[in-house]
Amino acid sequence: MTALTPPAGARMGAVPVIVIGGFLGAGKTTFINRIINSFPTRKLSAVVNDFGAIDIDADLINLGREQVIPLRNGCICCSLQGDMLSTIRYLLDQPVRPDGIIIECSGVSQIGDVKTALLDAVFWKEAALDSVICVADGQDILEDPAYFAQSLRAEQFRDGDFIILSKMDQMSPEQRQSVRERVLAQGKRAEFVLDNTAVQQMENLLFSFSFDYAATPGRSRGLRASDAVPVQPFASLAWESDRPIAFDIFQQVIGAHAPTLLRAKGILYASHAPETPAVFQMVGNRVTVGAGHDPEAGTHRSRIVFIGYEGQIDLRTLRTDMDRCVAE
Amino acid sequence: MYDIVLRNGRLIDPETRLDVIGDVAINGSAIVAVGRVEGTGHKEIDATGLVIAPGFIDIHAHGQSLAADRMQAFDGVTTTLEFEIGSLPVGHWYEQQTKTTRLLNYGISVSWVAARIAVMTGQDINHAPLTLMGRSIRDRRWVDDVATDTQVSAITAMMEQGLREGGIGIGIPNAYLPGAGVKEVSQICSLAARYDVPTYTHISFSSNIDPRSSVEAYTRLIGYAGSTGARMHICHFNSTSLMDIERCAELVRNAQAQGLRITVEAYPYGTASTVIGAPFFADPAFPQRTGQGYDALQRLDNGQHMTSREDVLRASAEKADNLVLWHFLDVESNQRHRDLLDISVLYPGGIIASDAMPWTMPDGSTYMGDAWPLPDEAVAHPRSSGTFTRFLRVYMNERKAVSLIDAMAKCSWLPATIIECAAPTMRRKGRLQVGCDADICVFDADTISDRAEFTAMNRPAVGVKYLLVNGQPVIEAGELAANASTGQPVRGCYRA
Repeated sequence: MTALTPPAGARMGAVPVIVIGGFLGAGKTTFINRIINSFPTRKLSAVVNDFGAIDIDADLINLGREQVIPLRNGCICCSLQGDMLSTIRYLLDQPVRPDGIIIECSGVSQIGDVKTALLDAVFWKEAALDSVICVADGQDILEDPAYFAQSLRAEQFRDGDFIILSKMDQMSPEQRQSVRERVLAQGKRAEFVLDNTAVQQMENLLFSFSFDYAATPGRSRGLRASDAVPVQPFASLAWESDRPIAFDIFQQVIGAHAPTLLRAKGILYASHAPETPAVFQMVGNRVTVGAGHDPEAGTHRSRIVFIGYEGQIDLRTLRTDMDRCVAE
Repeated sequence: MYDIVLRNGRLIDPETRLDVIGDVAINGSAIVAVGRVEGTGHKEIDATGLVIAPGFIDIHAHGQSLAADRMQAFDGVTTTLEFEIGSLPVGHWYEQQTKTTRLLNYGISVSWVAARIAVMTGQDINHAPLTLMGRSIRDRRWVDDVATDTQVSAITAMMEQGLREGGIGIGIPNAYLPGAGVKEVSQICSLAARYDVPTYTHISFSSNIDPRSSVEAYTRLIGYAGSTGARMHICHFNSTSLMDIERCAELVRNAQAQGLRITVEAYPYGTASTVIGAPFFADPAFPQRTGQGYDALQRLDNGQHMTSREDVLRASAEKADNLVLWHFLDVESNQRHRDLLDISVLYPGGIIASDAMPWTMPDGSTYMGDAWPLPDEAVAHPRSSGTFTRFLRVYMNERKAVSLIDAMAKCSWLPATIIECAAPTMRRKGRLQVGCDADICVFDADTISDRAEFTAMNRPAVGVKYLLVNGQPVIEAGELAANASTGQPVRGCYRA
């Protein structure tokens, strides 16, 4: 087995899409630039909201102009799919297909709408929703006791798979802790501070092309990320099976291990449809399962990579539980 | 001598349950004979082996352009109506259509969205419905705010004027106006009830969790029907009910059984279904087949198996956020998912409607040109090209879940019956009867199929051999035949 490290622009199933939301001034553009700089060998395209007047965000993003596409009608039309469809189709039709797409939601738009639009089955096979990231101003959270009382903010938090906290660098350790606790109280556990190390830490969580599920059956080993150095503080398990998976047990296993998992991705062959590859993707506590393309078509081999924090993820039990999903 | 005679086809009239081999004669824009036609026509069309049915009526079509008409023509549609969002001023919208080429009959509902934008933000509302929503988002008060009593009066007054100008009912896309209050919506429903016109609702919430669940939204809609007497049509029942479709369908059936005037539409495309926690693929036969199955499951459920990981379990039990959200996107290979889609698509008395999107260019503008075939870069959703033909291919031909005549009822006659209270001319559409409009779809029932997909959205459907709109051929021998406006406006006509 060789690792999957396709050249930039190679056709490898669906192009992963990251959605980034957050309020105006929270630091979304900074974060997007950090992502772009972190994947120098990848062709990334960014879709930004443009309300027609001045295309500010598009100018601030460190990509060639042709790779930054303004969404003319803003996110309400994403929710109606029109703009989103045409923009993504346009990007996928370029001579060199992007390796990943970043969609920036304007500060006032609802991430949930974009997420819903991207979860259309027609989209999924070509451009699959990868992760939803909410960038939030830590200083605001610290200073505004009613921060989460605003419904739009609460919804943006709820819709984010990962939360990025910005403007934390001037805070005392106690203040940082207080902000973190407020974020945790919103039911978010995967939060990162937007500083120089944050994106490095997240590289293995962003974009499924960082994944490599080529592994020896049943043996756990460190994750190999194709673009980044591995990989503290994460631990990972590569699991595979030649026999189909009992999906109901699999769901229970994922549910039980969800608190310790940050990401998982793979190809599944379920016992109720043993001939059909299903692409499985877990980001935070959100799982997507859909018909997809198996680059090793014909092998019918289920394989999944799981990633969690070192010290939290229980690799041994996870492997045992996964083995129990294999249908007799 | 007739203008056109369609010969020797399988005649289908869903209202009278006519299903015989015969002919149809047309003079001008009307059907003048159905059955065995003795005289000849200036144009004789051999329909041997083909179905002759009323043209399809799509009451949820956002396209409203020559390009959209052409693609829908190949999908069997002869009347295409934008009712979910609507427009204001209504008179202006109809006037605009006369300045473009429209192949299919067209019509519009009164736009609650436009009234809110005008009254609550003062922005210009003179745009196509979806463009208007996008353009107006800079000032979000129309989306987020509860309207004052004065504003509600102004909104309903604008909408009433829209009804007087011929708007065919009222679009209530509540999901896009989450800030609007129940009092305001109830006023709008009362307005609709007073004029005896339908409302078309995109329910306010789509979620399987309370609060703000789909069930809550349907219960509200049923409440409006009961408390105001309004006719409430539910848009895309399939996409907004998610995993609760069985329960939602039960609630709607109960409401209908009590005489409430609620109707339902669906399109036959899978949408993402989100479910929390519970196993979705649960197979009742599993324990018998595997010998381990439920033992293992139970242990996981009650925790005995998990003793080695007490921390994990405790976290899982104590924190609601540890529940996993599952999105399923796989109608094709998943029986359970397909069953759920079937509930909305095959809902008794429910209709097929496309929710067809406008054809959009890479710069975000709506394609208004006349190139044929459509430019490759023009993009919509595949359902803009293949909703009805996909329904016929999958449900009638492949799965035999619906008969030809029942399928035709869901595509033409039933849609007409939903809106004829508002637009009495619709009593002449959706029927293959003498005196009715010659809006006719002639198709090969064996080969009819959608062909559009994500990478080729502008691929027209196949199987429609002839399409007549007001007696004028739009498709002949499977090819696009019309370049002039064969479509006519459908308008509301009220007695307030």
